[in-house]
Amino acid sequence: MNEAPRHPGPAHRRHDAFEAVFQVAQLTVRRSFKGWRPFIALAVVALPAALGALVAAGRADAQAHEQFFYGMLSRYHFGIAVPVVALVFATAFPWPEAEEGTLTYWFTSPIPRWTVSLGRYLAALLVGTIILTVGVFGIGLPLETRPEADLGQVTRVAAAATLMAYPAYLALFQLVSSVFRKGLAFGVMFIFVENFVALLAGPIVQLTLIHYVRSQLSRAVPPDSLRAAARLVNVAEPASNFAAITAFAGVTIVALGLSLIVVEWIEYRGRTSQPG
Amino acid sequence: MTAPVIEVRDLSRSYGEVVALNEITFEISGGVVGLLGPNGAGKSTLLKILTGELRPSLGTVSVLGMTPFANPDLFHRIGICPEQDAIFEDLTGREFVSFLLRLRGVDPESSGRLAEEWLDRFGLADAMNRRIRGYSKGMRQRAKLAFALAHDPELLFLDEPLTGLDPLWRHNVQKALKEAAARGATVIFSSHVLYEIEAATRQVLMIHRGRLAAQGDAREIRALIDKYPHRVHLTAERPRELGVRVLSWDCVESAAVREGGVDVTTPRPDVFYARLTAEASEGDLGVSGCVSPDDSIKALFETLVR
Repeated sequence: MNEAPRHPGPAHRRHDAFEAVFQVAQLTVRRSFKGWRPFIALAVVALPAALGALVAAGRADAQAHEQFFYGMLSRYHFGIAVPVVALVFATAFPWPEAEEGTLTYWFTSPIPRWTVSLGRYLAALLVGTIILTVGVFGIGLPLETRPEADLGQVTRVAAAATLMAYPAYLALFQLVSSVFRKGLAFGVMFIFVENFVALLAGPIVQLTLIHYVRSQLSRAVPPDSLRAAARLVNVAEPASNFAAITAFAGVTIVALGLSLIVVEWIEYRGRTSQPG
Repeated sequence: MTAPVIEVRDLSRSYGEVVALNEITFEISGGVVGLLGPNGAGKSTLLKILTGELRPSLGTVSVLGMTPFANPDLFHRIGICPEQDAIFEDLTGREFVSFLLRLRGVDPESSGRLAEEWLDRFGLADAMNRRIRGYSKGMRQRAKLAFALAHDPELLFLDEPLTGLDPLWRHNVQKALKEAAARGATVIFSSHVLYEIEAATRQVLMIHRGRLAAQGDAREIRALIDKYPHRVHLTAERPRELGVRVLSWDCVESAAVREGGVDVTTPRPDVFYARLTAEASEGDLGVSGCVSPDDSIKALFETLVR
């Protein structure tokens, strides 16, 4: 063994919160493309484009393309892809790392736990936003629709809605996975229930984030769109833009804030670790 | 009078109905301290409480005058080598150490330099740019130790730091712990093998079934444990050759080839370990691992408790 490195001692400067969050986010982004989670996210997001290519190859008419586009956007992208991507990234921490044993390195670092949690959130926000934004533009890419359908306009609104909805889902699932060991199962149940409730009539749909997304989309549908296709995104009583932004921002702020608070208090211990 | 580095009063910790620690009280004032006990005795739980990962169920714990749980002010001053093998698999050894140093406030340039220096010191110079997923158990252990020591902490907590290391690296790590103590650090490390602890320190805390069984001088404990034959399992590529060779040593009572290695029984473990290290450092022994089952220490604890 060599001699102990002789050094004047590292500069033991304490990170401020901003630096700590940045450091954590930086490593998390680098590690985001490892393991099964990013593959699930990419597969979920790429599915509509792949199916769209099949539809295009099948020589269906322009109206069928339009109907496929609205169905995928409304039912699949916002009903499944956005929450699933949020769930996949949010539930990677902290319980799975407690089970694995790597949480020790995060939670014995001299930075507050909430900064670790916020860094992880921001990393997942960045990576997920990129994947989902590419995905939303990918839905219409292989399709050939009538010029008056103006899918570009709808796609831009859908991208904007994704940028609002994804942080809210991510914060919600981060809260769930900070508290519960089985955050993934809880999240899957949530997605099923939310999609079911969104299909119902009446004011109960306002409890779902899907309602606010569809409210945005319904206003963006061009008047000359195919009626049967446009019906897929229409909402009986669409929420105003203000209400939608308030809903997304409210869920994001409350859920993220709570998750940053609870992470400071909970004792994360791997289930497989023996008392010893 | 200086305040103790660690002060534990009536500490108890339960996992549901399982009592892992039961009314433990002790103080540590400095130096190297070995935490000795058989597997499942409560050593890791105690270390996790001292390093702020777990809370006590009852009692009080003070480390460097602070309550440890989720306390960044304390974490800034301590180094940790956890028991579990898991590290960030997708990082290289260098990235692993330098990233964690950066989280500890070390500037980017120094963190890279320190990571290289300490990984080199622990024999990972050639492997530091390889992904950790390809590391052996011993290499992971050395990477964790490099991280724990690299930021020159005041207080070091090492949970079974010698696990998975070959005899030569065991010796080197014990030397590194003594050097850290000589620089003024307090070192707390756990083991279920008295002779690992004895090679690094004379201060021992013995834990058995969640209770503090004894606190004192390792030599006194050894006098008791020497009544019980000590077993060691050596892993080797050519176990038969190794078995024949160790059987010729005066300090070895028996040697049996088993499970890719040799089970050795010795009535004089201190002499045995000294010779093992000496011959391993000459490089022709072919020992790749050394594990001591804790049956002899368990027997001693049962005696002490009775």
